[in-house]
Amino acid sequence: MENQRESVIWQKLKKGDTQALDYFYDTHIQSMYNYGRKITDHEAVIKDCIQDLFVDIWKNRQTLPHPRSPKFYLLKALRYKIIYQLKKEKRQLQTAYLSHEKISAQVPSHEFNLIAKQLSEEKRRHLLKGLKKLSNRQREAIVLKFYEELSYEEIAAIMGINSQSVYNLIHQSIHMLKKYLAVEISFLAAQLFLQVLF
Amino acid sequence: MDYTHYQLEDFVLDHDFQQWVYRPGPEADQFWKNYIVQHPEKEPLLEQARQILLTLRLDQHHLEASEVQQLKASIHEKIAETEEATIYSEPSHVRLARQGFQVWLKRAAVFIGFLLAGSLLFWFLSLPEEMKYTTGFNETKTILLPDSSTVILNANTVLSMKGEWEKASERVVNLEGEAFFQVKEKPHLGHQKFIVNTENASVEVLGTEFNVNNRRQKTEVVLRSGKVKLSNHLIQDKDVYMEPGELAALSIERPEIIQQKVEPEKYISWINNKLILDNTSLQTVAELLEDHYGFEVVIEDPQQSERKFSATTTLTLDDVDMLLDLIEKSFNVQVTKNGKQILIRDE
Repeated sequence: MENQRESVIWQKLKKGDTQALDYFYDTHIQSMYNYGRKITDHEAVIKDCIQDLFVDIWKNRQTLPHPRSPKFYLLKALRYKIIYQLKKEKRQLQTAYLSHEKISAQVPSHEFNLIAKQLSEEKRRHLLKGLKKLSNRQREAIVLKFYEELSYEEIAAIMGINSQSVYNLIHQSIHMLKKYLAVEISFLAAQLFLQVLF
Repeated sequence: MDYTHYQLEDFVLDHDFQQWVYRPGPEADQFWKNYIVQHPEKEPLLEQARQILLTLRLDQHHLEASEVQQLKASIHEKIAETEEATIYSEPSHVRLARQGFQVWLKRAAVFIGFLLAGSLLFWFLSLPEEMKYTTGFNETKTILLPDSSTVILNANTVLSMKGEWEKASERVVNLEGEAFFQVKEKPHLGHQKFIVNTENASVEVLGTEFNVNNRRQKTEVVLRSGKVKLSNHLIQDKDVYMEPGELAALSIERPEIIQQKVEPEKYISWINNKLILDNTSLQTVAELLEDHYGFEVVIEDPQQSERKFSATTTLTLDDVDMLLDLIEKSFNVQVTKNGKQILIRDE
């Protein structure tokens, strides 16, 4: 349904409708930026690549493919551009480990607030510590799976690996977070034990 | 679905469970509540899985609205540049043959550039001035247009037009926000068209009274009298003619024009500083609070937002406290106002 509507607008883009281009920009810019930030921390590189991507799409609009999902197309193309750009600038893929400071400095979105409200301060701290330990590729797979809600096949196609590897990346990440939850629970148990003692 | 052997990881990755955590709804709530009643030993596991899912969504980065706009503007600029470049670019073999002329060409180009810039400046100066009328939050304004048609601007609205209508074949205004139009017919000017432009559509009229609401990327036209033609900017060849008492709406999300019979007074009451709530959803009221008064509204429980109600008394639009009071009573919710923010939560 969603894809069908977007297909119609994509068709208009191919015919040279600038409003259609704006539509794709407006609808997917936050997803694209959010995804880009999982590949690199260089905000300027991400923004440049997003700009180049839309300019390229416009220039080549007549020969553009007709993807089943425009969003999938945009994310995949963006990933390709960012990685190409980083290689070109001889920068290694920067470790974009999520530090605790970074999360608190960020302007929280409406959704962030809603989610944060459902977790206690302490649990959140522990789980975020776990999140910090994940690799870039794990975070990349996670954002596509849990935020963009793509299938393993789609994620595999975007990241250029097979579905099994995607599954492994995600499974490892959850396993890691589980350990952080377990630590927290034993910590609480110890606290309770001490309280009983004294 | 059999969840007997499900471990923590399996729940996190289970599509239905994921959907419930991210988009809870009454049906899914019921299902998982039942499941916990039948398998109480699984409850801690489910809670952990839920916490992990929530955490996975915390890893987010967003662009500020201003950054989004800036980037968009630079894309437009780049596109304009490349389009100019393609017009003047030549195949490479031609360019090679002309290498000798390069320096001469460059000088000529600079000269022509100056000429163009000069004439462009002259042309700009001779253009009719753009006029702009704006209203702030909780403010309305009545404007007499050059053709003695009247427009009443609702709050938080911008209406702009190019002057010198006498010479033009059309009277064109651009609208962002909401306005009510009373258009005078111009038989002596050969029935000069009157056009209201929005991002999604344009309304073309002869003489008539109608309301245009163009907010949140949605255009909604309500016709009180006369006849108008609504041209769709989103889908070509999908124009419609409207009859009095009709509402026509379209948006980027639903680009086909939808027409329905309505009570026009309900949509136009704002021109008399009145608010009619007739089977109006809490979501609609929240949008009104944001668009008209400039509040930022959070409805804590999203399920609340589709609830509808009707008010027997007519409300005065500029008395926001009375409106908030009524929302509290009719929806049975608690409304907290903190500066420019309003929180609506279950009582």
